[in-house]
Amino acid sequence: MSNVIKSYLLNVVSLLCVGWFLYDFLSLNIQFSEVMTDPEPPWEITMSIGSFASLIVLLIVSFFYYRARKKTKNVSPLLFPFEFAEEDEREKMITAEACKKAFVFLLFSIPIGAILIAFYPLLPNSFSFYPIAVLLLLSLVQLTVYYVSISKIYR
Amino acid sequence: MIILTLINHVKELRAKHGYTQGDLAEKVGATRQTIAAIEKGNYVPSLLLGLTICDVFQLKMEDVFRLQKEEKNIE
Repeated sequence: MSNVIKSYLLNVVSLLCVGWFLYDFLSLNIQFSEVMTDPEPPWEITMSIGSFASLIVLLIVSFFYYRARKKTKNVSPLLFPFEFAEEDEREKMITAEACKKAFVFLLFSIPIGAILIAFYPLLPNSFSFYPIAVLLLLSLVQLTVYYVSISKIYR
Repeated sequence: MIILTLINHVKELRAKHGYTQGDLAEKVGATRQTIAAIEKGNYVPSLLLGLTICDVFQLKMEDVFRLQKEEKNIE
């Protein structure tokens, strides 16, 4: 499996874990807001530990993968698991093209995302995750546009 | 309209010198994929990379790279 595919998969899994954690965190905040409206005890708020544990597991896996990658390539710890392929002039050119495509995608997709979020009040209350889902979906498609574009490096 | 194409003899020269794509890539500071793309004509190298390749083979630029001009009529 090439490093481009590994990096893409790790990014997608990271997005999914962040999405899962945000889903739980959102429900925690909803419970908390209900408590705030009636602060009289007794009250309780609960959050599943699964999503938090998945983030921890992801961080550990990312850390070991980062250490392995750092042996062969100068990888930025701030951007990881996202990677720029810039080993030579051709890779830099392909990366620049991929960044341009990802930028153009965002230029069109952000207004579309904003329009989609504007439909939020029409959705049932149970779908409170909708705005976060739209943002994560935009991020996922942007990552896909970038990685499909840089996969040209290995063709 | 004139269409310009860069023809190169990198593949032949590399075989003549007994280099693999990886060997040449290492000598010129590029990746193996870039050498493969140059040989296939899918990538036009920069002047710096082109001259570095010529330097490895100890040949003049015109012995490694050649500009092909093709005239095409557009109606």
